[in-house]
Amino acid sequence: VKRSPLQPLVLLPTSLSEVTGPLFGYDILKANDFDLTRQHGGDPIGERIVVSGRVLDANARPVANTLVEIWQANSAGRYPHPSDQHNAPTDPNFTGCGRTMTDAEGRYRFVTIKPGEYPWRNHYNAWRPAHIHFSLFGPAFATRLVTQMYFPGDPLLDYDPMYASIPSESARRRLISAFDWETTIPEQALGYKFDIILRGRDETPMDNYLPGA
Amino acid sequence: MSLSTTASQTIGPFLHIGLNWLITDNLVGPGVSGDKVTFEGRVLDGDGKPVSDAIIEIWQANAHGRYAHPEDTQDKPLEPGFKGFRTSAHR
Repeated sequence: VKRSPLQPLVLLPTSLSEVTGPLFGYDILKANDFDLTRQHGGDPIGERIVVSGRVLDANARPVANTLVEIWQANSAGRYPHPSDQHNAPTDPNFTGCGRTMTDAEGRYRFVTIKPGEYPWRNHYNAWRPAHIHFSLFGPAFATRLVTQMYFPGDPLLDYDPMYASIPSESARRRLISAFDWETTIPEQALGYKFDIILRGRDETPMDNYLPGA
Repeated sequence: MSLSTTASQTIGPFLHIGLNWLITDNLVGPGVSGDKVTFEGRVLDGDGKPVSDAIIEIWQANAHGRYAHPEDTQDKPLEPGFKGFRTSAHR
């Protein structure tokens, strides 16, 4: 069954349902929601990192006051989830879930530990590269984005079918964070920068639709 | 200036770690007007098999047709008890 369009896409006028979307306020956040290393009694095992960046729209305008959610494996590559049967240790001091709001300039910042790679049994010797899951709402229901952030220099990226599922090499590379000297905290944590560009509110939502890619 | 959008990636099997906190099956807060309705259904994959760990997100206007969002400038009443958004899940 052929599923790709044979003719150019037609831009349909958007309705109020698409140009509006759920709004969340700071009132729904708890103080340590942005710091995944401070959500339990002790320090999680692993390398502390700072992950920060900006959320922008395709016209480079900041997306302010929008909810950014992340979830990730612990440093051993294990999720505290009943479906995760990997025989790596869980960490009682790490849940791996964070949330924050962007500021007026679209900036967000998380403190966490570097997630471990893990096997996922999709095929022989299948390993996921280290990654952090991101979920964003943006200003409208049409801007909803769920994606994953990767780390620079990860040798597993070339073997990962999920990373490879994005046809454009430049679009794949944009999912790789960059080491960032400016946000690195001396004697404390390395900084990684990951900017996120949300689609315009007038675009037709399509899975992996990559304008300009 | 035009930037290329960030590509989406699969939500993965462990989505509930990050996203369960917004889950509820009731959008109707106190003092909300309109007829209360319930709706339900099943989520199936392409082979017709049930998807047991799906999260459903819905977004809607209130009973007056007004969305709780600044882009909606219609002259219709807003109701503080109705945000119009929730996720729902059955496992």
